[in-house]
Amino acid sequence: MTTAKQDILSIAPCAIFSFTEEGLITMANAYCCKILEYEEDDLTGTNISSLLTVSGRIFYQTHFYPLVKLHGHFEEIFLNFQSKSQKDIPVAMNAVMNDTGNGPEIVCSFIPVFNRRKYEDEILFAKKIAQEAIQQNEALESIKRELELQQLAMDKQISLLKFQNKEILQLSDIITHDLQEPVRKLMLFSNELLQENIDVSLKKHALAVIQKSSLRIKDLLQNLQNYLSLTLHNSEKQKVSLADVVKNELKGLKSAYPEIKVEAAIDALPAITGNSQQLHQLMHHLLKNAFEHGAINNQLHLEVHAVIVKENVFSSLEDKYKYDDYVKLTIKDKGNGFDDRYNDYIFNVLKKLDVNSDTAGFGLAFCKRIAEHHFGNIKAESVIGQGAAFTVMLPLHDV
Amino acid sequence: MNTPCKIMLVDDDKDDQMIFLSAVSDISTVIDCNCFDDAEQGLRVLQTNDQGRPDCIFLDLNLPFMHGFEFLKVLKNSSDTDLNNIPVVIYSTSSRDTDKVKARELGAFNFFSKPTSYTELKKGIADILTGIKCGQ
Repeated sequence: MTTAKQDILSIAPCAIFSFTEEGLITMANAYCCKILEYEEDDLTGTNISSLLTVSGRIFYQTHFYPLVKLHGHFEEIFLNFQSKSQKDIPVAMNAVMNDTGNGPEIVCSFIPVFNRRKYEDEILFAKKIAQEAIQQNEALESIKRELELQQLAMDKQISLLKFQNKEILQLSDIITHDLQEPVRKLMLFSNELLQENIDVSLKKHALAVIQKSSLRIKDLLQNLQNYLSLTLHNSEKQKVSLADVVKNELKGLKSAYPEIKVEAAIDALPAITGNSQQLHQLMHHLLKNAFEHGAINNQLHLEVHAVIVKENVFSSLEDKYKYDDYVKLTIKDKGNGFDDRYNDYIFNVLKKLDVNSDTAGFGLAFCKRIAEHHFGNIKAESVIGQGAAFTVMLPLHDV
Repeated sequence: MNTPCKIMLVDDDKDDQMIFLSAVSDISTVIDCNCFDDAEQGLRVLQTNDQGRPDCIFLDLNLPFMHGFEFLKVLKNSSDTDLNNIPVVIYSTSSRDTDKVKARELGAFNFFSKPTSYTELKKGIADILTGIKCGQ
C-alpha cells in the first residue's frame, strides 16, 4: 500500500504552496498553513507579500521574483515569512515556474530553518575568531621575524666584539713581548757599545744584534700594519669567484716558487659574497703555507675541495639556530704534516712551528682573521707524515 | 757567592741566553747554567731528572709551543715535591702588572723584567740568587 499523491501533499513535512504572478496564493498544503498559523482557506487568495517580513518583502521584489521569472526556477533562497502571530519564520525555499494553461503560477516549497541564523552566527563568530587568530599569528610571525633579524644582528655584533677583543689581547701581547724584545736589545747592546774598552768581538756582536733587532722591529710593524689595515679600511663585499681567486693565487705562487713542481686537483669552486681583496689574501696565505710546508723534495701534491653545507649562522648566541649555505673549502697537501696538538696554535699571531724559519708567523693569523670577519671559521688537521688539511667555512651569501 | 749553584734558563732567544750566561759567569764561576729554547723540552728534562735538579729556574713567558705560565702551572702542580719546590723566577720582557699577579698566583718565586743594561742584569740575577739556597 502506497501513500496517494494527494496524501503526500497533505502529510509532507515541508511547506508547498503556489501563487500567481500577481502574488495571489492559489494553494497551500497543511504543513505550510501550520507553520504560518493560518487555515488553508485563509491563505488562498492572500497576497504573498503580506506573509513576508519587511526585509523579506524587499528581497521578494529584488531577488525572488526576478530570479524565478528569469530562470524559471531557483533553489535554496533564504527569506523570512511572518506568521499570523507576527513571529519571524526563517525558511529555505525552492521555486519553479509552472504554466497551468490559465497563466503561469509559481510553485514553491520551503522548510523552516530556525537554527540557521544561530549556526550562521556561530560560523561567523568562529570565522571572526579565526581571522583574529590569523592576524595575531601574522603579527607574531612578523615580530618573530623581526626578533630573529635583531638576534642575528646581535650575534654578529657579539662575534665581531669577540674577534676584536681577542685581537686587542693579541696586540697587547705583541706590544708587551714581541715588540719590546728587540727594543730592549737595542737599548742593552747600544749601552754596551758606549762602554769604554769594549772587546772587538763583543762590539761586532752588539752591532749585529742591533741590526737584527732593527730589522725585526721594521718587519713586525709592517706586518702589524698589514694585519690591522686588512679589515679596517676595506670591508666592502661583492660576488667573488673562488675559482678565479684560487687560479690567480696559484699562478702567482708557482712563479714565486719555480723550483716547486705542483700537481693540483681542484674541484669546481662556487662564487661567494665576500671581500675580494681579503679572500685573495686568505687563499694566498693558505696556498703559500702549502708551498712552504707541504712539498716533499720540491714536489707539491695539492688538493682543493669545495662542498656546500648547511651551517648555523648563529655563532655566539646559544640555543639559536638558523641554517644557511656555507662553502666548506679544504686545501690539502701531502707534505710532512705537523703534530695535531698545534691545530689551534698555528693560527695565533707570530706563532709558527718552524721557529728557525725567516717568516714572521702572520700568514695563518691573517687567514683566521679574514675567515672570522666573513663570519666563517678556519681549522687545521694534520697527521705527521701524512700531510695537512686546512678547512675554511665561509657563508655563501652575506650574513 | 761560593756555594756551587745550578740554574736552568728557559728562553728561546739566543741573544738573551748568551747575555744571561755572560752575566752569570761574571757574578760567580761556581754557577752552572743550562739553557733550554723550548719549555716542553725543559720540563721533560726536569721530570726525568737526567741532569739533576736545578736550584732555581729562570723562565721566559713568551715561548714557542708552551707558554711560560703553562710550564709554571705544570711544574707547581706536580706531585713530585722536589720538583714543585724549585723556585721559579719569571724572566720576561713583560713588566705588565697582570703578568706579575698571575705569576704570583701560579707560585713563581720572583718576577724579573729583562733589563736594558748589562749592569742591571748582573745586579738583578745576583740579588735573586742571594735569596736562593743553592746546593741542597
